[in-house]
Amino acid sequence: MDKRSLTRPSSSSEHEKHLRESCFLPEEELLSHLESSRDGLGDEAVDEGKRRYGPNILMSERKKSVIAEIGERFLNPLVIQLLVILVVSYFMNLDASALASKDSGLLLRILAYLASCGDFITPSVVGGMILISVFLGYFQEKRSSRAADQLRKLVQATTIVLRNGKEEELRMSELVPGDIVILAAGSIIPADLRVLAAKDFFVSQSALTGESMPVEKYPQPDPSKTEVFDLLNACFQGSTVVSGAAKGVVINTGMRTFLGSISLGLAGANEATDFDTGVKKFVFLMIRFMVIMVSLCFFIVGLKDHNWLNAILFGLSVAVGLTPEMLPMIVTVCLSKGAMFMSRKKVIVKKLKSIQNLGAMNILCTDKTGTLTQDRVVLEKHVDVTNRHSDDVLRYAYMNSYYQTGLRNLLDLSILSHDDLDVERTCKKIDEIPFDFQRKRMSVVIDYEENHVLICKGSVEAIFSACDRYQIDDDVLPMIEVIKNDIMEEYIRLSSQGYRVLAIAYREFSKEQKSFTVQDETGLVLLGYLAFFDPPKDSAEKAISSLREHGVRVKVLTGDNELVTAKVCRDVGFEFDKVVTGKELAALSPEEFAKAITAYDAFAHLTPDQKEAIIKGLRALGNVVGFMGDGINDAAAMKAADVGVSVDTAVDVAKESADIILLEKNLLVLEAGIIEGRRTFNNIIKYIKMGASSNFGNMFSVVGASWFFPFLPMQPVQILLNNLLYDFSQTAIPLDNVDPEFAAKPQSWDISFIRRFMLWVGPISSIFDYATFGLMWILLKCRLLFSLKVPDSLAAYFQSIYKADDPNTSYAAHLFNTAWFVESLLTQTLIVHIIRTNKIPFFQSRASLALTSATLIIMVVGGTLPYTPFAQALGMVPLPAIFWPFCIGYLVLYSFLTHGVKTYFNRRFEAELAEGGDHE
Amino acid sequence: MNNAGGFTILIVPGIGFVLYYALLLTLDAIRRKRRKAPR
Repeated sequence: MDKRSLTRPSSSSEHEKHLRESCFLPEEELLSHLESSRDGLGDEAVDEGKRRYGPNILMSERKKSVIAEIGERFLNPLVIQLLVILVVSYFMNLDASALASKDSGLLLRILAYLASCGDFITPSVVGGMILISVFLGYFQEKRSSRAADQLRKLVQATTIVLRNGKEEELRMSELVPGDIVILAAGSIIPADLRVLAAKDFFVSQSALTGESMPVEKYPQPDPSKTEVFDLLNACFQGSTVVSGAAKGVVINTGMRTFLGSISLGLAGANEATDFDTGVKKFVFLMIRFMVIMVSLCFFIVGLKDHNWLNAILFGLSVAVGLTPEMLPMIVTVCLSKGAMFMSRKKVIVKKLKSIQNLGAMNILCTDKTGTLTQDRVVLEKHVDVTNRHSDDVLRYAYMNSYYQTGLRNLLDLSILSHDDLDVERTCKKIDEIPFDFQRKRMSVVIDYEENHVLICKGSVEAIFSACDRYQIDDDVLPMIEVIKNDIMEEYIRLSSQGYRVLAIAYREFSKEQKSFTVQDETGLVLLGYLAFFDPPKDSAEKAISSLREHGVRVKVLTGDNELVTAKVCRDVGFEFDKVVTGKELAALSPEEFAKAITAYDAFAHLTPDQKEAIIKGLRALGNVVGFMGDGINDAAAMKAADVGVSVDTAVDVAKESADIILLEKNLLVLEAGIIEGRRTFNNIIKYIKMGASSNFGNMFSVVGASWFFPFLPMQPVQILLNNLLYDFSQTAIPLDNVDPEFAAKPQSWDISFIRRFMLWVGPISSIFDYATFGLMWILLKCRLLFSLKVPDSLAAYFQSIYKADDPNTSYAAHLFNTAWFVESLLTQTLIVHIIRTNKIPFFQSRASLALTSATLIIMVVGGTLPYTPFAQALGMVPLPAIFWPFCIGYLVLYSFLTHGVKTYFNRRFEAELAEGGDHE
Repeated sequence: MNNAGGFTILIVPGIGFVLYYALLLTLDAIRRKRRKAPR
């Protein structure tokens, strides 16, 4: 085969062919084609591989270029809307005479007309808004996501790679074709690879094929199987090792893998989370308002003045005013900032959107080990079947744990740390039958005292099923039914005392037998029991009661037996009626199952499928469910949960399935994360509540004012500037403080609550808009229009723009516009402080320094703008001194009234929500 | 219509707001009654 064609396929079908061919090549030939060897790649080959193939990552994780990322932001419908306004307002500045001639087309004549009535300010303001929305958003997001990426890197899955003959632990992204990887139970297959050596190596390909049974992989090719997924010596990226150990050579990486070609087809097809749906619903709510208002304003202004172009521009500006163009930025920055704060509390967020789910979670399912207990297993007893101390049991267990090469669990470590036996001098390893979850036991075979002895260790039930004899002292006796129950009693007694009990058994074989399989695990002699104890965690009791106080109900889901579970639960003060076993659950009808998982909090002896079924069941009942686990058997449950939580020390597949990773396996750490999640969510909701209510209020004002007054109530450029300044003040929301009350209970997204809040609080701002209209129209005599006396300093200016048929050119209109601009900006900005808390603002709850400064600066800028040199360009005039006492009075009254309505609203509706009131 | 006279711009919206909040309170009371009624 041509070397080029083997190493450089270019399309997905070629990658498949390449993998298939690689699986049938003799091993040496394949390695030489890949420029590799049994010792792995050398440094030069690694560099060349990286240069040629790039990092081993999927498209979705690949970094986009700066231009692509910024370009994407321009495609946002909210930005497109602004761009349209920019173009329209730009053409208003072209010289009308240059465009319009008698034989010009209709479009040119329209443009000429547009040009005759415009200025350069509007396009500049719109341009400014686009820049803020695109670039400020981009940089803010970039900065925080870079930090979040750094955090994610801390918890990335790694793989063991052989390079230059040395084993190294590398991030999966660093793999290149030709790398030799070493795999064990719990590993994730890091790339498409060919198996070179394997021992009882079972792989779950369910992520790719949907097939739930693990497949055994061998190093030898099977010529009868040519379909790619049937290749017995090929492993695919994204599959997981269920049991056994293997060595393999990487064939395809990154997008050239099967997972890569699948992800290419699925790009962007991520399932929408509760959070996405919530944001989408809010945006649609706003769009509905916008469409109603824009059409109303357009027709009112158009019908009144018959100046339809003016009406279009006004309508479009109103649309901009109502568009929550900062929403995407606020959401992402809030979430990224939340992730940063959480990382300080040892909680690493892998998927930003899961922060909201973490805050909304009302049920936390957790495994027992490490969360309720210290995860520090101590070997307390090693006894024979009559519960007498036995050194033989310890010795056999020690040899088993010492020689096993699979995942060494805590039980193995505690056996090895219990004593220090020199096993290598007395015996030598012959073979091993690794652990798997079907058998729940594992064996090593050693050359010991002139025999090959198979020593099997595992769960008591699993060992019992493989034994037909038992041993007391030196007597080996047949295991008859009557005795079986007696022997079982010792085990039950130990278990009920809270011990985790393993059984140890053995069988002697002749020295001729060199290779052993699962079939040899029969006819064993039961030697005795190992009793382990995992002391309860001191912090568990506090964490559980604290979680309960914060509205999170804890449920324990464990594969361990019910006796141990009950003992541990009692020790940590976990309240439960009874421990429900997996067997009991399996016998229930779907209705009974739903009742049981709701009513009970402790579940034992569960299979991974049952854990998953409980999570799915709880979710179907309307709960937001979190699952915390760290084992291979927890991955499915973690994926099924709204929030999968794992720990840094967990197996790779658990870490990959998790949304949140704790740097310390402790419920208190998780609780801190939950509270931070709720704070983050609360800041997002603040922006949404404010956006919704101020937009709804503006609807009353803009529509009414367009109807009542002979001029535009606010110039398009002023509406845009008002919006721009308000948006500036909102950029500090992600940094705002959150009242502890908001963090006290699960915060779920409830669009009906937001809608009601908008209906109650929104119109208040409009009341003060009308009060301002009254002030200007009656007291400051704007109703006199052209007859209103123009101050001497402005006389020349108004003479220059005066058009007898256009009231918009009057001093009265400019005065009115300026007053509403100032009042509207000040109330809108001030109200942030009232809405952000349920308490008395400024006295009982203060905003963060950043938000206070941002709002203060914008209020000062807004208030002084009419007195600056920019005023005329913005169509503003200085406001008379008499305006200010009224304006300040309005601000005070507005704050009181909003606070009053808000308090009434919260009393009525939050109490209902707490009772689980209707969600419409 | 174009030159809304003196107090129109205060009285019309004023009545509007009073009616609006009266409607909100009434709807709220009806909803509450329904919630309390046995299902």
